[in-house]
Amino acid sequence: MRQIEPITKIPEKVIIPLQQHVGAENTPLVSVGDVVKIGQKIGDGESGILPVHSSASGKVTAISECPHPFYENVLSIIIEPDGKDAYIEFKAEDYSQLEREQIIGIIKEAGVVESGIPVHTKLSPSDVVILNGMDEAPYMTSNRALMLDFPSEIIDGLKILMKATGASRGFIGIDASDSEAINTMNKAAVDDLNIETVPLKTTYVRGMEEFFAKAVVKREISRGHRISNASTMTSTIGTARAAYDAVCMGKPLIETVVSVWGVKKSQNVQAKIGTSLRNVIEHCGGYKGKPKKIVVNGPMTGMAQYTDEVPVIKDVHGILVQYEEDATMAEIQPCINCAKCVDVCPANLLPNMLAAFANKGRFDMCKRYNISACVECGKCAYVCPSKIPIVQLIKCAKEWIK
Amino acid sequence: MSIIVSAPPHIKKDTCTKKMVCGVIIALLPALAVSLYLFGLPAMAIILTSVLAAVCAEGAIQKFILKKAIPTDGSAIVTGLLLALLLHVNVPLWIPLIGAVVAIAIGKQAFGGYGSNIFNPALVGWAVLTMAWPSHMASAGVARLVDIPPFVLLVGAAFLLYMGYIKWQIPASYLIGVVFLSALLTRDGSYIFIGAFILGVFFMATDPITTPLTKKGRFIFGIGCGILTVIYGYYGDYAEGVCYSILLMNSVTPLIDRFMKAKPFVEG
Repeated sequence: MRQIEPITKIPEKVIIPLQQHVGAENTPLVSVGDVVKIGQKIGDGESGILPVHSSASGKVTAISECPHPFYENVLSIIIEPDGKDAYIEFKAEDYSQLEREQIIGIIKEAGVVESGIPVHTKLSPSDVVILNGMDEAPYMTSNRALMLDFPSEIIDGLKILMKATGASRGFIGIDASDSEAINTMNKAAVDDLNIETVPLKTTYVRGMEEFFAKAVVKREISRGHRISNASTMTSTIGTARAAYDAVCMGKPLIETVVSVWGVKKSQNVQAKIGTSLRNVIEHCGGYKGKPKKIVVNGPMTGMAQYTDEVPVIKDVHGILVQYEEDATMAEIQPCINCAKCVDVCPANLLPNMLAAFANKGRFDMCKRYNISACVECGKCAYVCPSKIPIVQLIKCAKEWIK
Repeated sequence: MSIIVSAPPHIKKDTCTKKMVCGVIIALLPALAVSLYLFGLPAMAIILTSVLAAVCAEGAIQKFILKKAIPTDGSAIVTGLLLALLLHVNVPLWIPLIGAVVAIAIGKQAFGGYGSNIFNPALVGWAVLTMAWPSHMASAGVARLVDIPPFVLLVGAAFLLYMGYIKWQIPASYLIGVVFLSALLTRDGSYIFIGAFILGVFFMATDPITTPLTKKGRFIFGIGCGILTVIYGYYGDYAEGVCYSILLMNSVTPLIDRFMKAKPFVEG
């Protein structure tokens, strides 16, 4: 059974923000009134900037500031689809014939991004490429769905990333209890002795990049492999698939797999970049009641949206809708030093102290308590019995320190 | 459409401070019941006076002096109960009354209230009473309310540990400290396991507010309590040793935390 359902209905309008990565905004390559095709590059800029492509064929109706799921309003290209679904010609390549620089160039031109970081900037020479097959947070299942639906594409994508970094080995970290995904990936990688799956016990934060790589490396060292942290490149399942699409299909990144929860039919869908959250939610049967909160990406670190007209962008992997009963705001109580936050902190910090210092404006003390090591995973605020918004206070202090 | 925005995380664990305080009260219930059974009405009067005085003192200070809402966290009840359990059965009722008011007013509110106190409030009340009225507080041969079979207290302690309401490192290292040191000093360690000791180890040394945050610090705190308890108990009264050792270790808690910070995990 397919895990991912593509959204085929053409939306009434598509909003493509010119900024879908960390850094400067793209400049539009089209103007109002132009007709664009699917896959056409519509925004680009100086080096280090990641191009964006149209996910629809139709007419550009406006170029204006629009809501963005992660930032404030961002200059966006608004396209009214004409329903023709006209594609530009995709130029497929055989990656085994390509040089390292050529692959990096193709990945850059395809606009592949991962948590805001353009992937081509991550492809420095490494010995090992590690793919993160664990889903980072509760309700998020897009990585698993991708592995079950596109195992051979992901293995090819991994090989492309290995070639682009010069790595000789590839690992895919998968939740140890998910034998279905492990078997599927093992079967797909059966011919390739350099690619292995690594079963890992999933804990929420282990899915985060920093900790994930350490966990894989630790396990491999324990099994006698010689591997060091410095020579690894960590990437995601989604990136591997995007790399496959870019090189083997010639297709830029114009679609993303989104786990949709809290709707009538919770599922994984493949949505075109620029589709509004409302369109995606309607595809999944619509809201279950009166929505109270709409969160993009996981419940632990995701951003709450103020409107469902926000477009899906490249880095959207999840949508979570909460209703009155889940979105209640508890009253904040004084900290009782219970140290539950200390026990869960993956960065070995004292979150309650950081929050207290931040609350009093003592940013010098925040620094002394290593605030910069915080990865903002949200576990401290999740367990806090006093319901103190620890992460919010820490983020605030980090902004001040900058 | 009216939707709200807020900072992540968007899900929260179903615990709250009130639940934790209720947990401690529930954990004390078996001990209170046995104490009432063994010592009867005088025990009942002491417990009620102590709890009522603590609750009223807390409410009055919050409402009339600080002009804040009357607290509903229930922590004053715990203070009252712990203080009552440390008293002798034959004390006049003004002893728990003064003790509880001192515990709340000086032990807690003077430091900034719930969450800000340095010393365990019940122990502050107890210490003041012990200094001021030694004749009432050290009646030889008269039982304390907490002088009940220790296993009754252990039932409550097991509940607290199971629910994760207390930092387990503290009782563990406290027990280890006491057992090792008393094995070195004396041949017979059976006198250790009295009610006051179990109450101290599991209910007073584990008060979250006054004990270290850091993981290593919790072990140091526990071992420190253990050593001080045995030394004091060796030369003086063992039950008093439990109380003073916890108070002393409370005073160095911020210091322990300052020096026992773990090395942060940084990528690379």
